[in-house]
Amino acid sequence: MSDDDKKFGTLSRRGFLKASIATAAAAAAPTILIRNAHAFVNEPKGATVTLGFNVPQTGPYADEGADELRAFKLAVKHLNGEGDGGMLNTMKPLSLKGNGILGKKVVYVTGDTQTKSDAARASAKRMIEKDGALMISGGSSSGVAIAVQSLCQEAGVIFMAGLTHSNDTTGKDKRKHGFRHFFNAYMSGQALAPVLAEEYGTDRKAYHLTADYTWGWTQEESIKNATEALGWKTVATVRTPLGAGDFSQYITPVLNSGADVLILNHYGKDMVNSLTQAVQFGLRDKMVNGKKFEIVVPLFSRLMAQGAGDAIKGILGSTNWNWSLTDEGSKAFVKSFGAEYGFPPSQAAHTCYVQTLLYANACEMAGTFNPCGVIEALEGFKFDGMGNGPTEYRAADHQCFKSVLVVRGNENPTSQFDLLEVVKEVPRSQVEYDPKIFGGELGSCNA
Amino acid sequence: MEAILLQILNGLDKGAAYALIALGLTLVFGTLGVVNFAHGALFMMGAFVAVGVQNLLTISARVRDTSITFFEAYKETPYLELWWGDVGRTIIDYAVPISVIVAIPVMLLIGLAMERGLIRHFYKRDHADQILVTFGLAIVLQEIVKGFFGANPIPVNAPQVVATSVDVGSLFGLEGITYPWWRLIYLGFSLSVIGGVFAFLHFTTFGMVVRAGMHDREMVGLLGINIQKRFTIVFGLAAVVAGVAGTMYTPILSPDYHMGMEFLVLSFVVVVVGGMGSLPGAVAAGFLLGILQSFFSMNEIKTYLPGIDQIIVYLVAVIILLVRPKGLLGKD
Repeated sequence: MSDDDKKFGTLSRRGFLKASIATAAAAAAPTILIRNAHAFVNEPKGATVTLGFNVPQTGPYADEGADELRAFKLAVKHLNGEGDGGMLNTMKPLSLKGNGILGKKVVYVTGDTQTKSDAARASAKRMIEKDGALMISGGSSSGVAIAVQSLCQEAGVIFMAGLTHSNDTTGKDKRKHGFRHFFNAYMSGQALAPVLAEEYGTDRKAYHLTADYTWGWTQEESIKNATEALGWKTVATVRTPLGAGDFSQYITPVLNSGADVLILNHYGKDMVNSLTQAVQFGLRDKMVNGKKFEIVVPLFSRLMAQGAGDAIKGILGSTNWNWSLTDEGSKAFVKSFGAEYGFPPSQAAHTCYVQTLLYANACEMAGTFNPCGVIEALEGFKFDGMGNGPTEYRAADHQCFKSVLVVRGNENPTSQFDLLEVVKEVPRSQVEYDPKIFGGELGSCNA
Repeated sequence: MEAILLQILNGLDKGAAYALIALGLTLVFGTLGVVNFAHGALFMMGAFVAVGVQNLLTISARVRDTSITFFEAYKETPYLELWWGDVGRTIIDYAVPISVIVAIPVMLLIGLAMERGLIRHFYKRDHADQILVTFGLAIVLQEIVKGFFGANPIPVNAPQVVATSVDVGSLFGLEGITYPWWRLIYLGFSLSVIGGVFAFLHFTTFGMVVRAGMHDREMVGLLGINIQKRFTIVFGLAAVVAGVAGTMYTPILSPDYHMGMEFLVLSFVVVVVGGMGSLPGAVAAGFLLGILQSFFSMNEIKTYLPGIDQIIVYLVAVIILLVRPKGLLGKD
């Protein structure tokens, strides 16, 4: 046997043993440690970490987008240890130290979704590929959220959804890299139904006008199921084009349909117009089937309520959060936001602020920016002190579960911001559901 | 029967808005030969004259709002209310009718400035160039309005006395047919404006010269008449018609910066269906398409043809253009 052969033989014996031990050790180690050893998309190398805030800066939801952006900026400020700290003072459990994320200063880039799926994807892609964004957040439409969530899954970055209410976002279109703090249409239905029964009785005939896209369809289905379970009958479900403007041709058939409740599955500008026009057509002054005609807007937004003026007074709906809540988290956030901008935050601003803090906290908990580690930290994470009481990011579908607010357009507002009155804070147990009912697969981490 | 009557009213109302915008569009095309994609923006700007007037009338005193303790917030009470009480409140209540009066000179000035400042430089250019520049102008105007007023719709209310509905069914011996007062007023207003424009063009010397110019511009010029100056005024008139249409529409549709674009596309279809440059054609097509759109939104039809309400206008436009390529009242 030559020296070389001896060497080869020795090495192969020892090498084999070493390799076996290394393999066994690697297999036994937590997955996260192995992933740490590998680079992932946009791994921060310098002293900063970049987050991407993708909000509607133009288009019909631009005001809502502007409020989201204000909240993101405030969150970044608080994460970097500036300002009064906001919800960093109330969030429990808290791993954040007010020195950025994992010691790196948080910087951000912004994009314009234009409330169009293709524009939102292009903008998110640019932030990931050119600006090095490690996490994307924001948006004010379910169509946009679903499109960007899917892009983030493909790109291997985290998506912390902004305002998206469709069941599909964490239902059939859910993704491993996507997380939603905002509530959904199913929860609106479950929260609203008992209040509707209490206020309007169980013998009602409902007529739905529905925005013709993913959010409208899922909300119509959820509200229809919830009200029919009460004993209500559904007279008709009519789809209206998004941004119809004048809804008169859809409202007039309601007048002689025999329905005594009109449910407006509209949001934003559509909600403002359809509600205002329904009131103008005298629907709320009518008596049908011996009962007073009622209008319900299942998803309310304070910003949009401003647009509807007096028409929202007395109208029931649901909302994710309202600035008038008096828990410590809400108070801290409203105080910070109010001091910074001179008016209270919207529910869109709240969810975006909370999502940014939750992402940062998950990085700290995981001890890494690696999306797989962050996902593990967020899945099943239970927290409190962020405005909705005890909350859990359910691991099965990445949907947050917390209490939901049933609200009514305030008849006697005490201030220009006091547009919604909280009728009931519905507990989590009443709005929870089996994740299997909406189908879909989370898939696996793609980092 | 009730449903049909209501849809006829809806159609007339919708058609009135289309007809008013289309009237200005076709007038500008007929006189200046310009395809003006900024015409919808003029409708939007008219609506924002109402918002501006409302804002002016409600300039308020800021008083610290003690009901908000989390941060420093302020309540606003209009000076008119503080100074004149009920009279002040009534003036604010009549913001829309006041706005119509304000909109006439404002829109005339905007129209003249637009024509003199930009559009006249594109008279001899291709229609494609005209479309590009006017479309660009529309976007600029939209963004300016958005910069001042934000992107959300701004509620503008009709005077309280006509903010309710009226029982129109009783006129026809039918029960339970109510229709908003303001929509009926809008219909009456539109018919008056359309009648006024036609009367102006047919029964005044100025109008007759303009019509002659539309027919043969060169010949009118050779007769020593400065037809260009008259056409510039016609552009201003078209801006006023679009503007007041927008102002009066605000209680029906809360104005936002994008509302002009939504009307513009349909108004172009109206102009093409009516016959490019034909004023009666634009009015007839406006009402026709408005009524069709309303009828095809009825549940009885949508049950069998889902989504038909969203395509019917374009479907009818295709059929009319196949049968009459120059439009309903267009001349060969």
